[in-house]
Amino acid sequence: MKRMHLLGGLVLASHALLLSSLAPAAGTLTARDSSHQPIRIRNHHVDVVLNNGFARTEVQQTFFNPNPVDLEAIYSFPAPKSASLSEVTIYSGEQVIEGEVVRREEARTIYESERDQGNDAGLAEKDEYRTYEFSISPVRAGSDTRVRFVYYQPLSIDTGVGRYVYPLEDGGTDEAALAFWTAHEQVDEEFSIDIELKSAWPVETVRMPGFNDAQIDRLDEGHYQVRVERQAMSLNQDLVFYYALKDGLPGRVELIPYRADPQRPGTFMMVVTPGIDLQPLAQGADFTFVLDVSGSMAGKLETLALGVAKSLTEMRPGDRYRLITFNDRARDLTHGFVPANEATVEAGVRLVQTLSSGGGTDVYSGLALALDDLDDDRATSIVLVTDGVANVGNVEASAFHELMKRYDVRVFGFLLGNNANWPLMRVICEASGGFSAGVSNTDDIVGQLVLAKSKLVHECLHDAKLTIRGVRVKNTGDELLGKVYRGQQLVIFGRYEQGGTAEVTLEARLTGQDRTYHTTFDFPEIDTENPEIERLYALDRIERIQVRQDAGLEEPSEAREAIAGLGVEYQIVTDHTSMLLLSDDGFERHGLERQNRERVAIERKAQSVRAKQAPVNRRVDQSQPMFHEPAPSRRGAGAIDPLSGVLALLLAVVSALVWFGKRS
Amino acid sequence: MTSSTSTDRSARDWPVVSLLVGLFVAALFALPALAGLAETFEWRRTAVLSGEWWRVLTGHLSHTSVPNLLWNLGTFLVLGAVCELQDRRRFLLATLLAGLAVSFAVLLFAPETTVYRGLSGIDSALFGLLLVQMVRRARNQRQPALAALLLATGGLFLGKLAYEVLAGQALFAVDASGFVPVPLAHLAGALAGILVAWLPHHMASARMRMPAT
Repeated sequence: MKRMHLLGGLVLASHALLLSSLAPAAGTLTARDSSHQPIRIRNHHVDVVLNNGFARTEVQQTFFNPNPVDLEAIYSFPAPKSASLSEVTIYSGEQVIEGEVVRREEARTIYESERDQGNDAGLAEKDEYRTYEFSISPVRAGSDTRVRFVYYQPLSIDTGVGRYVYPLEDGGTDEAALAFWTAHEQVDEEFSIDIELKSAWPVETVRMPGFNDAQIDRLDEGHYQVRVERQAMSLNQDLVFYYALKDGLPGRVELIPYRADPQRPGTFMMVVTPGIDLQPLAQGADFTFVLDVSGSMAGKLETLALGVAKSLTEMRPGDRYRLITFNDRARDLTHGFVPANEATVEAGVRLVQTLSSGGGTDVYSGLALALDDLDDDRATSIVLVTDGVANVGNVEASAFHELMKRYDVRVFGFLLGNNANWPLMRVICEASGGFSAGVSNTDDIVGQLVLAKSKLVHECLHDAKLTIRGVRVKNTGDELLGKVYRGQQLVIFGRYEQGGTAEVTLEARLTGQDRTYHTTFDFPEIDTENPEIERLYALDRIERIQVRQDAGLEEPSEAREAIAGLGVEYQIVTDHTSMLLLSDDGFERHGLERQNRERVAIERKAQSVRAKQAPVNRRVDQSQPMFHEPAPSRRGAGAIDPLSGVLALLLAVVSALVWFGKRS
Repeated sequence: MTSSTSTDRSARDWPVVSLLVGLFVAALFALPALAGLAETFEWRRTAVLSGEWWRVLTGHLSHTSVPNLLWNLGTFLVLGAVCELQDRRRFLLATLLAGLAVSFAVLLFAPETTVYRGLSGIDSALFGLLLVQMVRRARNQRQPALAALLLATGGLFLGKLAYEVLAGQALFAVDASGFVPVPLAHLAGALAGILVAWLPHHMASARMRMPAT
């Protein structure tokens, strides 16, 4: 998935540090009762590289403290989805301090101790799915402080379209924090974002909606550079970058391995792009739209209405729909299912266009109402549109998991805006065999819906299972993948003992028949091009542990221990590990190993090599293709079918007979 | 009706344009030497928008797979031959107008489509053209049975098109080459053909070669 972000907020005031959670906002945050002037954002620069199946994002911001006193600052930004925060550096005057990841409690204790002694120190913590928070002490009076951080995210491509989001718009899901802080979102001097796309597959086009001033340079058929540069920009609009691969690319298997030491296991990311002819579903289906109209949806309702209205107008004959809204309670706007025809669709569109937001968020009641009165003879899909911040009624993820497991219904979740509750949505959708997707207000809403709709109206693979034999692999997660929808890629992380020839098999059921797709390829003994894969692998494992914990399938204490262990070993900030920033002396005083420094050095070396390379094609099944059809695409074809052909022949014959009859 | 000279008639007794177009379409698909040309001809959204306007017409000449080619080209040759023999100018006008109408309909109303290939939009136009002409003829000749047969055929064809446009997908899939059928293209083509059939005689036709009614 895709999402990243940053929102910057440098927050003043030592007393503010008492607060454990900050408002996510694109700008500096100042306590409403603070007597200090707000911290200014001088500039904001973002460098993104999309290459080898993952994104590297580096953000640099310079802040200026206009006050006559040194301050402790808190800098907050929304947690990008599936991102591993891996590097943080603070530059204050001559002082440069870097970070090492340690267990959360230990990190905070050391940070507070260093701060109280007047030493330069910093701390980066994660607040679940909402924010990353940086504490920096001290920020010098009348001086600049520069903060730099790096995170990695896996990329996946849906129906040939890749999507990357750099979120800047406030998700608005933390009402208490928003009431406390004043956001200052203006960049006083320069704002820039540079995106380098290095695709091994030819790219048809790239696009950045809402940024018509983006300078796009095509260096090669898969190599693009995009730059947006502005003066005095307000950080209130997400940047969404799309890239569409050329059509007709093969179904394929790609492997990005990392193994530096022949005595130790390697790590891999495998991306399977199915090339399977999934046919359109012929019969009508039932669709229940479950729509969040709580207070946190203010500012997102327009996007919601646009998306739902578009979906309604594209209903097929034979389809039925139902509209349910929820805030403090759930309401059935259509009083059951309504057959989709011109009049009812028009009425439905009017209903969603007049929705207003307010109140709390009782997602559970909305879903429970949607599961009432199902027709056992018809396939039913629930389209859940929310920011996912359940705060009324039943809010436990395990309860949602239990609810969804009781029904044979697929839930397709659309999460609107930033700071949305991804973990909860993932539990709901995975328990039902559906899928979820994020939607930004800056997105091409129609394009996103077209991709989603194509999944709903085409066959999908059932009971999909991926197995790897011949090479000993571990920690690849559940080999049972469940359903695979049209256009979806399968992204699998894991470890492998040593190099060798692997047999990879995808087994699934399609229209009641067993299907098997098979290939053979080599895992390398040594491959050091992409060391970042290790962090992404660890993040994948952490997310799987979290899903199991949220679903009530793993003890919280065991999950916590496992996550903390992975966070420290692979040096990524998690809910249970934090990044502690100290001077070299500081790390030495506390006897902390410089694991991250070593890891970062290896990554930077690899990055400098890759920067000079052309995009590398990582396909591994060329000699024995796993699929014999191309990957699904957005290409259109005018195709005369047998019925039309026969009718045309009939018309032509009749016409010819009439004509020749007359002539003779 | 004007009569033709014997020299004219020998040329007009053959659907020359349909045959030449058909030959070119088949060669474009089958000859490896022309593979690059097929790519240059296909309707490609970004290329059209960046000024390669020829693709608006040439896109219909390229095809995606053998089944796609056989169905589209077969239908074109059958309908095209009859239409051309009846009224070559109206046939050419319908072909050109449908080429434009289909391309612009896909450009404007199918934003998810990045590439488009196939003659079927033009086939639909020829179907619409021939249907209207024949129904008109049956009515003028007071042949209710023929008119009913034609209307039933046309109703089935247009009903299928309407269903596909409303459903957003084709009723039958004949192509497994990764391309998605675009029903809108057929509807746009059929409407273009019907429009040409209804054009006043002096605007569309040099002469009607079918026997006077």
